[in-house]
Amino acid sequence: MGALELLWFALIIVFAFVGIVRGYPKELGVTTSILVALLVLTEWGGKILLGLDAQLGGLLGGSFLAGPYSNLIQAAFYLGLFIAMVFISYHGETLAFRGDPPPGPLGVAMNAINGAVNGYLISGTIWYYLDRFDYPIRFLGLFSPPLTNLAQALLPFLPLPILEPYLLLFVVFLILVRVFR
Amino acid sequence: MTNYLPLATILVLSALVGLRRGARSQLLLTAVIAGGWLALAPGGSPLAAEVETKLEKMAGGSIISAGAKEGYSTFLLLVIILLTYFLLWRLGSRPESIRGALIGTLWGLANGFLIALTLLPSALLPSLLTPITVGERAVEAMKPGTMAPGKFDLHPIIIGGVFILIILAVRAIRPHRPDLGNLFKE
Repeated sequence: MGALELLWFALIIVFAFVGIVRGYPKELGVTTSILVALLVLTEWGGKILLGLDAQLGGLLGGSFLAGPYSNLIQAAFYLGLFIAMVFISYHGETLAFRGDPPPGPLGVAMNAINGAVNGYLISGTIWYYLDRFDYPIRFLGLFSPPLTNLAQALLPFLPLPILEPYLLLFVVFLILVRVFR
Repeated sequence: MTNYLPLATILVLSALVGLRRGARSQLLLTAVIAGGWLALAPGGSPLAAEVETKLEKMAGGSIISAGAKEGYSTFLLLVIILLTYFLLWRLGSRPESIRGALIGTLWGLANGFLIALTLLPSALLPSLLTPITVGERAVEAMKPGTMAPGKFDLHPIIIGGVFILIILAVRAIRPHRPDLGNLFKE
């Protein structure tokens, strides 16, 4: 497999095309849902995981967070929850803004930009959690460290390191805009 | 660490006026800022310096202290800019298209930048105003709240810009028209 950052860029471009097809009013709804998902994961993800560990640890005869597969389990938890929320946001109407994008190149550009932003948020979050838990999927042969220089330079620009302090602000703002448009 | 709140406020307000009143109003504002700066720049423009020299000659010496002169110029420039904003907001006309509103917003941001550069040079160009040594930079980096090198700090200006873009995008959404097909042909 090639460099991780290439896959990241490719996914952003794919999502930009998805945005062109779906239109940015729907994509803005997905952006809101993704930001809500990120807020849930950053604010309560760790607490939920610890709660699960405390409950299931008794049944399984030991803490799974202290075991050899701790990183894999944590990554699976965060990514599973995040991908499920993203799937729900793309599946239905959810928080989609009603209406059509403006016609012509301006509308297409706005669709593509919003789609690319969603791609950046989704693939960037997946990369962030893989990096945080030391790429536990490497046993599948999908990725072999070390990261390239470019990938290491890009890590601080992933969505969560940048947006984490402002997630609540963005979520509230988008919901307000959705309600009072 | 520099406080970016006044700068962000100026940029956001200026962009809002641009959004509401379009590019033409912003052209007028650019002219007012440029004219005001030529006449009253706190740093001392050629025109202001000439007027000041003539006044001093007439009075036979310096009439006001340097600090008071600078504060007075800044205050007067601020009043002129605020008055122009107020008039544009009240009397200006709406932009004819979304493109006009977009250009007005971008122009408004540029005007906001100009205003901030004139009124708050320390917020925009701290390194030019206060040259710091490598040692001072290291001490600055160790202060709490300072980002480590390589980390990206999302400034209020960027957040404000993103918010404005989202508002513009949402305002550009057109009401959905159902496709009636051949309903009226039959």
